[in-house]
Amino acid sequence: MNKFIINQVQTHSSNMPDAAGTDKFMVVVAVIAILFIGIVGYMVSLDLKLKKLEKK
Amino acid sequence: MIKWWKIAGIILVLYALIGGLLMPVPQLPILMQSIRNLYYHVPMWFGMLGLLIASAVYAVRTLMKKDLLEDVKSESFARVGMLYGCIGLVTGMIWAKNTWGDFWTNDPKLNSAAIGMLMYAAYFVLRSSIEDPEKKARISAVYNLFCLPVYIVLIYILPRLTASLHPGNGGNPGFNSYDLDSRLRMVFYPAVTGWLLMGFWIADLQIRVKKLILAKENED
Repeated sequence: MNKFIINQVQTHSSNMPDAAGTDKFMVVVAVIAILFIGIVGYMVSLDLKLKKLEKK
Repeated sequence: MIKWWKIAGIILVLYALIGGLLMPVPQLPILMQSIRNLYYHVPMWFGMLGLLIASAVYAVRTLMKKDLLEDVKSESFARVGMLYGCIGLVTGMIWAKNTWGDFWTNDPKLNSAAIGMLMYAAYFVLRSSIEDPEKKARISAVYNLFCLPVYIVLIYILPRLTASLHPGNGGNPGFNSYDLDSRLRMVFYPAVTGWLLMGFWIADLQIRVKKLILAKENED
């Protein structure tokens, strides 16, 4: 049963197009990078605000 | 000024996010391009383990010092650990769909992870059910110290004793033995370190907010 599933998935996987390096893929990378930078920016601003409050 | 380890965390995770998608990976059967999820799924579990260990350390300190601040630290690390666990589950489910054909298989590691997560969910339920802060700190610290070893047994030991689809479990070779070649290591190790540092940063922010709230309450 497991062998059957593995064979099915292997066939399916080998037919999948390789998206890496295409324009759409680069858009995905850019969106992820922007989202991460946004989250980090929020964390840095929160960190600095907390530092100010702690000094008070 | 932001501390050096926080900046290191940002750089390492950014490198892992971008490098993980763009750097070349070995073309392994079944896994194919989905091997890139190694950089996102596995560091979540490593990070979660690190955060839960930190939570248990502060649970011990809570019992030793009887200090509420140690309890706040213990809770914050557990909270971020669970956040990592949830992200680890979601990334794992997506990976499972693409390699095993289903979001959730009857795999011992998946079921153990779910049980372990529910155990920690019970930790938060327990905390919210006790009003007296000192009693809450003591009881939840004891429960936390009970949770961690059981969680480690459930996730890292039990799946190795039975048949499992997961690499490194149930007779399957782990990524270390032949799959994790140097190209994967170049991103994988920075990803693990980076996400761990980011987790400690998130917990640190939470702790500092709660510290300020506690100080304000004491003033009032």
